Amino acid sequence: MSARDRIFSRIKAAREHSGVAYAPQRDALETVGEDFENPVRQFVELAKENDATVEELTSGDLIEDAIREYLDRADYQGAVMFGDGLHQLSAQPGFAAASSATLVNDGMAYADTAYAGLAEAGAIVTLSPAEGKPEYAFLARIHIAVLSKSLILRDMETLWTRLRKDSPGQMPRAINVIVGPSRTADLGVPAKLGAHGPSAVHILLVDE
Amino acid sequence: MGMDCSSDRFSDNSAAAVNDPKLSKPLNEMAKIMPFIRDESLGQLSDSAAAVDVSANIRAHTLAHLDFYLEQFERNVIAGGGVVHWAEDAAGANEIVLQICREKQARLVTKSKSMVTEETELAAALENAGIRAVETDLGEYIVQLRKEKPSHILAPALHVSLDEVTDAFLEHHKIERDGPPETADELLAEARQILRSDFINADVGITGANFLIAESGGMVLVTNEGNADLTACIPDTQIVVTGIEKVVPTFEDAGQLLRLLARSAIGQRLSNYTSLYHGPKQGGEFHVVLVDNGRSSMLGTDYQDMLRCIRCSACLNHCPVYSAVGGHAYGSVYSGPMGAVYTPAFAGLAVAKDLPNASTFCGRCADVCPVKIPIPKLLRYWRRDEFSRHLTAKPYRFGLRCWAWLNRYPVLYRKGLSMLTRWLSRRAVNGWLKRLPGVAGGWSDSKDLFVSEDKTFQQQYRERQSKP
Repeated sequence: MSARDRIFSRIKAAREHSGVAYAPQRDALETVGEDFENPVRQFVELAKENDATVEELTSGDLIEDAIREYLDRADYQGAVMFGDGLHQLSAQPGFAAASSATLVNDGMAYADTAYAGLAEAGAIVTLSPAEGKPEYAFLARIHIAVLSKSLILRDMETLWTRLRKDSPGQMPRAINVIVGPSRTADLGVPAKLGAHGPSAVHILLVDE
Repeated sequence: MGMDCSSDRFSDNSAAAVNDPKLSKPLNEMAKIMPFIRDESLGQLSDSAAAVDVSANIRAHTLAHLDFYLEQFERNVIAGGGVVHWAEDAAGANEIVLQICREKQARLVTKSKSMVTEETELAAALENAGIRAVETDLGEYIVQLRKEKPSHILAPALHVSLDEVTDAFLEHHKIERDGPPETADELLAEARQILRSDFINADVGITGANFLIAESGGMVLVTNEGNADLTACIPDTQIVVTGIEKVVPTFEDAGQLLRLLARSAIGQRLSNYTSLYHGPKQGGEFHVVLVDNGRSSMLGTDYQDMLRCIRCSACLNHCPVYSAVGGHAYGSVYSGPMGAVYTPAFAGLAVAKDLPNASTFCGRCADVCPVKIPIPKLLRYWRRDEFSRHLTAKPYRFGLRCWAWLNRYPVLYRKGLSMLTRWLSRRAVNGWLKRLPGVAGGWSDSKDLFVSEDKTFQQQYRERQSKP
């Protein structure tokens, strides 16, 4: 008898002792969340509350300039890595390319489009890219996320529905729900930003 | 069960801890802040009581059908390209992980915080096998350098001062620096620098799981630092080590629990990083080690409800006993009220019998539990079992027998109590007794007893009732 069999035999014995059937039956789950009227406003307020910065753009044409200006304002002169959604910007002059050395030396900003925004938490949602690596968003010093306002979802229930629709059969390997910069309270309160991941998260919220 | 446990020293440990001013400062701060931020964030929900009811039902339902959901989870992990391993105990779990690491010829392993791997003492097992295991949660990293155990399930280094972190870094980080890191910012920068190369060079990443999702074979990881994601994403091989009770049926179930987890734990709507992982990265391997280690033996017993626990630590944060003595006094991976129920189940009642007695029964742990675990009731069950298994000390058993005998004779009971009250009252100064006599003396070491009247409660009650 394997460990698996022994574990299952104990679980089964306990269930049968309680008189519970193997196959579950239950009413549809009625989850409880927050009430709010305007998901976009809620998203922006909560993102800022969680130490992200949010910049609203009227058009996607303004993304490149907005990234440059943000990095200038942050006095950031290191390498910039672009994810799949913004890969066309990699070829633009003025963005220093990232290398393995920049990763080790903690000298990288990362910019990509987000899969969705989550209004109930002010979070951006990213998926593991087909190309590239999901860890770049966590290794970067600065994370810039481009998000269309139309992709802001009200709550997690809406997110799960959308994921099931977009990824039938097999979910993406990584679904990351990110609320502001990395932080730690292990060195006392208030929490410090930039524990292992980005110390700054900048969201470019695009109208279209 | 393989869990390192020194709970039999709780009495001595707690006496030392309660008089440790270095410990009382962070504990007092925690006790002051955490209830406030929890209440505020739960108040954001449209109906927090309903949210707790739904969450408790999710966990109770899953445990009632645990074999069904575990099999569904297993099928979906395999369908997604992962491998599921089953471990009955700590040694079995460690051996599975070691075997995978050996096959990968791993020299360096990064670990994100996982209470189950604390249970199994996986880091020590890896080190003994010549594999360097680096804890990457900052608090866990600090206690690992100091060769200590976590003192809180979410804030493992709660008991460590900044000066002590500086000392640990100076001892272990062989790097050039201008001066010793002293401020929190300097310490954080140094830890970030040191751990970065470990993240990037790790051969295997080991994580726990906050939840397992049966419908998809996914696992949920929650952190504020992002260390679990770096551990899960960078190495080609990811090993998830978690308890069999962590499974939930659907994404919606996980989402509902996540809403309460972060709010109950740290007063946030969601933790900074809530990540779901399915299967291996391209060209990599994804192993899930499901650990029993005593859990299945709790099913169908008085203690089954404890398996609903989602490790939020709200019961610790609101417990007057934990706030007075801290986590190390419990001598167990799990401390506070949840630890006082879990530890006897995992390590045995004989060694952990003092923990269920370390409770004022104020009931706050049950009030704040997001999945409605009736912790005081479970603690009473352990006390009952302790007595029935003759594990209670002889003087205590004698005292209980006397009490039980006295209770059978109400007249005698009332007379005796009346005499005792008058006797205590005569010894009180301005209504306060500084020191209780005899075996009760220990009680008054840290507090005074208020004796307002020379009459018992029942006498006073009768008098008040008889007044018009």
